Amino acid sequence: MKPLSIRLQLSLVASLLVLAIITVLSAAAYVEFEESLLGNIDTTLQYMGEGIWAELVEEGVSRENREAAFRALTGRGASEYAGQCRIWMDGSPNDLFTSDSPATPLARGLLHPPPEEQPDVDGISLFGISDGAESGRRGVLRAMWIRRAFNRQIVNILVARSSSHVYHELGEFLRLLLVLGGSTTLVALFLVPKIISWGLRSITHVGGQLEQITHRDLWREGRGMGEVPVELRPFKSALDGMLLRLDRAVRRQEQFTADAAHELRTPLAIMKSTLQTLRMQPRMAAEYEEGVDDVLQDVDRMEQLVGQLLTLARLDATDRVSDPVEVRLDILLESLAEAFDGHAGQQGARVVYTNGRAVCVEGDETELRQLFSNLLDNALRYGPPKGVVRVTLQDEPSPWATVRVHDEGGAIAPDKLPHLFDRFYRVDSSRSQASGGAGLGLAIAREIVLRHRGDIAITSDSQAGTSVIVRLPRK
Amino acid sequence: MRVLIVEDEARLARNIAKALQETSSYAVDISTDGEDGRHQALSNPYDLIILDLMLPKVGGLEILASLRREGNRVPVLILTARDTTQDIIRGLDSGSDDYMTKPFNMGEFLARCKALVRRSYDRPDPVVRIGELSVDTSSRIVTLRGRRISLRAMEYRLLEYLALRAGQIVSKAEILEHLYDFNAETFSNVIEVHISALRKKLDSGSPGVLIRTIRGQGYVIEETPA
Repeated sequence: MKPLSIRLQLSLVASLLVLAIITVLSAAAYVEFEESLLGNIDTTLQYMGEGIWAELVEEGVSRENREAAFRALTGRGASEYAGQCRIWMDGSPNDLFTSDSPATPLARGLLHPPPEEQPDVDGISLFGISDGAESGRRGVLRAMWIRRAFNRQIVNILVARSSSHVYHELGEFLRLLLVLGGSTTLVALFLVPKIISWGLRSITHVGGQLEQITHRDLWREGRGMGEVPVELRPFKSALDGMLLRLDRAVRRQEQFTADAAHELRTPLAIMKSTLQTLRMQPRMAAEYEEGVDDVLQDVDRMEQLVGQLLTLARLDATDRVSDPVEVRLDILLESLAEAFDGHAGQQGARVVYTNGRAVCVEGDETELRQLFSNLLDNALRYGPPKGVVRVTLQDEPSPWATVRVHDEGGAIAPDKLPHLFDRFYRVDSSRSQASGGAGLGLAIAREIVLRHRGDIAITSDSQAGTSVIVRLPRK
Repeated sequence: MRVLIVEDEARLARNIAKALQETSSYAVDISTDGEDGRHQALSNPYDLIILDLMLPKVGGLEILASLRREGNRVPVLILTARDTTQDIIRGLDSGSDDYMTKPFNMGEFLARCKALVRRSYDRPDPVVRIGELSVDTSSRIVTLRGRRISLRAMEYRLLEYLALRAGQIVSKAEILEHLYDFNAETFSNVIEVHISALRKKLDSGSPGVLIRTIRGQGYVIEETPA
């Protein structure tokens, strides 16, 4: 399911919340109001009932007395809001007093009080009497029924008042509540999204800024993203961090491409110039031969470079060795050292390998061979012409197999050491081929070491020479 | 004409030098690192400098900046593998006169070199005419009254230099500086020998062209007064 927008989600939640609060408050107010209105009527009825009773007890139950008492209590004559009264004895068929003609709706209620509401002797009950003519509106009449013992007889006093005005007022109140609650909810529905948009404006702003960013312009110091609220700061700094990392990666890639292009173009340029110079005028056979030899050398150089670039591309494609096997590192190093020693011997240099014990690592044998070939090649290239390159496989109990390739070359400046593993990096900033390589040997070595979950470091000083130390997890 | 090539790829430098010597009769010095290149560029009166950008020790743009700071007006052609538009703009804005990217076409390169030299001598026409003598600096064909004169490389080099500066007195020191590279072995009267050979080949009747000797100052090439 597509996630709803934050604005919509928050708006819905906030509106529902407003609606719920208003509903609960309105219901409470309604109930409270109804209770207080009915309470008023009940208090009046109680006064009336008790007053009539007191008059009866004092004055006897003559008709005049009863009528006078009732009139005194209710004040005005029969009206809708005035009280009504009926007094009768249990077992007697005729009423002692009835305040009104039986024809009015109020009187009909008085003549037939619901029997289930009959209170015990000396008790009272309060109830609503529904009006037949206006059915559906309950409690049009609010009544109080008093039963008291009097001269060994039970006297019933039923007083009642119309309560229709209460329900009318309650109806008005309910309408007011509905209008107020409804409009508040509507206002909330309209305002909340605006408020949320206002609250989210920083995000919108940052989003706008992000949209401007292209791969050429990923990270700039003090980009005008503006100040963001505290809540967004972690988000913004994470974003900045990501952009910075991406920027560095893109730059590295661009630098790599530029360097690769340069490295490929240079031998091409030399070959082309050699051939074009040869063609400028007729030449002796020896000159052509020399030119062909020159071009062949440049082709070799280019071939080596293309090979290295392909190796790097292959290594970049995966993070880990695909089919690791157990490799006897001691045998591998010994055979490599022997091969390089044979080759270096022609120039008077030597490669010496020390260690006897078997050390196993897990990995790709071809890659490991490439790794140590590159290191030996570098050591011979940058060491003194008739120097000795020492390969040592450390023989001590440790989870790591440590190989040290040491040459007697001069010191490399400390500030240049960290860059030695960068692609195309050479200590001398020029890209000339005086010392041979394109500056990919150590970069390839590092990639291979990382794929084998090992690490590689280089140390150099004028006294001790230069050492490359490779650590690989031991099998 | 004397050219300095500052290029760390020794073989490329050699090829360019060979091409310049063979097709344009230029004297060529080669420098394979930036430090030496800057020293050479500042201490010799070159007619053209071919400059690589990525050089050991001192970068090409730095060399260019030092040259221009000293008020040196020598034409500079940048020859580099850096081929982005920004690189080209930066190169030209730093005071170079032309910019070529590797790999390049040797013929185009040589033509640009000759054009830069012509421009620096304020002679946009590749054919220099002095009376009835014409020196075509692009094909190196010299004719006098319509007849082709064959010259040896050194004689052509000398004639071209004098012709480009026709009417001006050119000192012997200037000739030595502009026509011989750093490694050339010169003996004391080498100029006189070439001048006299040139005079012989040009002196085929009047009206002709005369290489006059101004005692104590040098030589001047001019039309023979009728």
